[in-house]
Amino acid sequence: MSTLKFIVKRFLYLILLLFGVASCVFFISKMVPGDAVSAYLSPRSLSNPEIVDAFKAKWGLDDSLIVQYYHYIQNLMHLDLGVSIRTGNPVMDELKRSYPATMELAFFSILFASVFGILFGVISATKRNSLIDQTVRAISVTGVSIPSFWFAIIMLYIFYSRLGWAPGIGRLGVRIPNPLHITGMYVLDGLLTGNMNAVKDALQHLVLPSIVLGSFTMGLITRNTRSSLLETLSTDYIRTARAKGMGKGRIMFIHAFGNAAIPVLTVIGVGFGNLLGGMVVVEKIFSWPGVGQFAYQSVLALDFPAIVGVSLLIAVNYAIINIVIDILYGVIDPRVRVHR
Amino acid sequence: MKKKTLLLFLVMLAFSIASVSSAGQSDSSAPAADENAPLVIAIEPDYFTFDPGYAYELYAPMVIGVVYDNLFQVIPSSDAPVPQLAKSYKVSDSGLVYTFTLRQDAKFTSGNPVMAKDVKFSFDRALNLQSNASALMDGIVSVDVVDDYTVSITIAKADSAFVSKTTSTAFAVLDSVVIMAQGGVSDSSAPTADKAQTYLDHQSAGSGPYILQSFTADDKLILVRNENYWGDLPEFKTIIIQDMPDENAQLLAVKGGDIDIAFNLSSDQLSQLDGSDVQVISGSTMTMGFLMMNNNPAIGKQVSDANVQKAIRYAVDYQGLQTLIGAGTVTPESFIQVGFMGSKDPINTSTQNNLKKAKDFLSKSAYPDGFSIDFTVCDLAPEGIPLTLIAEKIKSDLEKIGISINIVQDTWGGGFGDAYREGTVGFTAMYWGPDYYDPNTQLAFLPGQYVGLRAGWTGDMNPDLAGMYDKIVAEADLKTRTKMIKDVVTETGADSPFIVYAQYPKYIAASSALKGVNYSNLYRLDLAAVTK
Repeated sequence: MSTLKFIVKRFLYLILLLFGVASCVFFISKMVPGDAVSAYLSPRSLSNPEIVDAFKAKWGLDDSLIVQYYHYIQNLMHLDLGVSIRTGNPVMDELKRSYPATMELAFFSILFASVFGILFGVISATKRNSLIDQTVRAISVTGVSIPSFWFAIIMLYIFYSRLGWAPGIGRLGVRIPNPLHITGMYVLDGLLTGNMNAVKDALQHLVLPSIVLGSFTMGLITRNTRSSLLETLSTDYIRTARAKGMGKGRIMFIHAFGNAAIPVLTVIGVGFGNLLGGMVVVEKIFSWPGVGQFAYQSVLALDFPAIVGVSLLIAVNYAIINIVIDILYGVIDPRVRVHR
Repeated sequence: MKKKTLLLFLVMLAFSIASVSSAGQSDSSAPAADENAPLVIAIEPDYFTFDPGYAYELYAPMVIGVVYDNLFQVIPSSDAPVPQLAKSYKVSDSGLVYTFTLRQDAKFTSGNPVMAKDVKFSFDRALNLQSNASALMDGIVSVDVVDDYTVSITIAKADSAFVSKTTSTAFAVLDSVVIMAQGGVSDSSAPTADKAQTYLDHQSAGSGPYILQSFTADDKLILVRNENYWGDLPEFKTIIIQDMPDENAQLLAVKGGDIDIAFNLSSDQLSQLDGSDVQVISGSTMTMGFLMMNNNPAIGKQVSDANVQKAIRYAVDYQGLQTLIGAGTVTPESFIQVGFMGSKDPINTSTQNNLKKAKDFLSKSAYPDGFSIDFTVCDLAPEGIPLTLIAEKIKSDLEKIGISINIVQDTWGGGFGDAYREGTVGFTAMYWGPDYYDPNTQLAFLPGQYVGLRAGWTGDMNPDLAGMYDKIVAEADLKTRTKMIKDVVTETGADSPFIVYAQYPKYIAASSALKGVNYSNLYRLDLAAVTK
């Protein structure tokens, strides 16, 4: 099957998947106890039937479930996710506002996780069973098991409060104006507009949350890189390469790492998807105005249109990441393309 | 290839290290020294709209209070409302028509003068939007323009708290010309036809000392000084209100000088500020916590017994609860909070907790040997103190007189809220904050009124007390009303299905360089009063 056909097929699956997710999230949100009426209206308003009726009519909550579902799917087909009850703005606008902040943080987290995860994994495999190996393995276990809310507070306390090496919370210093909005990603917007002050400050603000958010994925990548490399290093062709007198570095990075990369790539892909789903805690602690923060506030307010919107966004992310990873498999290892 | 791969790793590593090592030089951590430095406040936000026609949340009045003016306002030095846009008012003999004369020097930020037509448009819009704000305007029959600077408001029933009500954000006066241009509608089609909220959430159209410059949800809000304000100009040219939902982040930021004021620190966290350049301002909120014992025997079971209710009243360790909630907590005698007109001094916690009296009342009840009962508690945390913590304390207190309670946890959104409003919860701990700055709002706890009914307390159970509602609401004479409220406190403090266990404190941590940081129940903080 050609790569193009493969991609088209996967996108058709994606549409089906989104329809399924959208339907599930809609019906689950209608089944859970508690509703937007009692979450949003004050006790005094709830005692006034006219206000309750007006609220239900405004948000279409007085329609039957099937009619609500019909309108919801119809709107979805026009990429209309409805209006957030909490903020009064279209959910699509809220996601457009918050998504770049999350993507920026996710990108730097995965960059941190990949760079240090692969580096530690290679070192660990090369120095197998040495003190360095033991140390790196301990770091990776810590990275995987440390609770992010605790880690975030400790990092802030040490590097921001005690040492003063890192800035505090938020995407930029409170007193620094936001760069001109182009993509919504401050580093990129700062670079595009030549606002290097904002670029520098945004990068500094990315360090701590990226480390906290990326530590779990870094641990996974380290462990996978190490085990994949060790497995590959024990194969016959590596032994042959050694027998032919090839250098250690060339064996490691050209022959061994290329073959060990596929499982590592899978971990990076899954890790990236997890980052987007697991932003809530880190975004709350670092006051990061991203999708996680939006989801957190929406859940507290039982703002179902917003919750459904966030769920769909995360589903789309997972699906797209999986497609990209599948395509990359083929790029790294042509044998994968043959078997599609 | 080998070199390229190594080089790539080194570049990435260098980038990461460079980011970390240069972070300490951040401009953001530099202390504000120049006179144009903004006032930076951090809060755990609950607001999302600054449209006075919709806003209801706890912190929205802090913003709306400085970008809009009302006919009357609340100031710290006065326990009664004082004029703001109104110069004076008079009430008709029937008590149903209030006529306000406006000052003529007030201007909106657009330059338009504040006139009677703006008052009419603003009030009609808020009333017709059928929102949380509309509920506060309940009872208004019509708003009429008498002349350019005179407006009269007719209400359905005499209401001694009407002028107090006009201090709430729902009664903010908007620039009608600007709002109509932005799709604002004030007639009965407003619930669906009005389109001005989006505009008002990001910009303001008021006559207050500040202008809302920008607001990004989950991020920050910026206010700039209205240089053409008709009154005294505030000191800060810019105010930034930064969303900071995590308390620990607020603690670190206020200690580090990145922010000037932190709003959501617990009393434990405040103790960590010792030795830093931060002052702690404490104030008593009007948020009160209470136990509710349902008077309907089918729902309240044993706690519907009047003698059991009295026994519990004496068994509660109020002093212990005050310690649990934090310094500055007081305990009112009944549901009229300390500080309101007609309220009494806080109770003496050392004598109110009397186990002998408690046991005596229990012995007179239908359950002299004690009993076991469910105590349902939800996941809310008034002023940051979880109600579950209160439930644990009540459990240990009541065990001392032989009442064994089984704590049942529930969630507010997951069913408890509905059950509580419908009056089907038997025994619980809840809290309440007034809707407007007047004790009349507390009369909802009387028998037959909507909070009283949640405790199964119907009007026929105490017709005299139930009748006090209409009498107090209609009473125009301040002295008489005050006395009547005092009588209600005395009677309900001794015998009612509600036991008020605390009036919560509020702490604000502020840079020592700031002055005028005072907790206000209506505005949380009067931003225009802060100076350095």
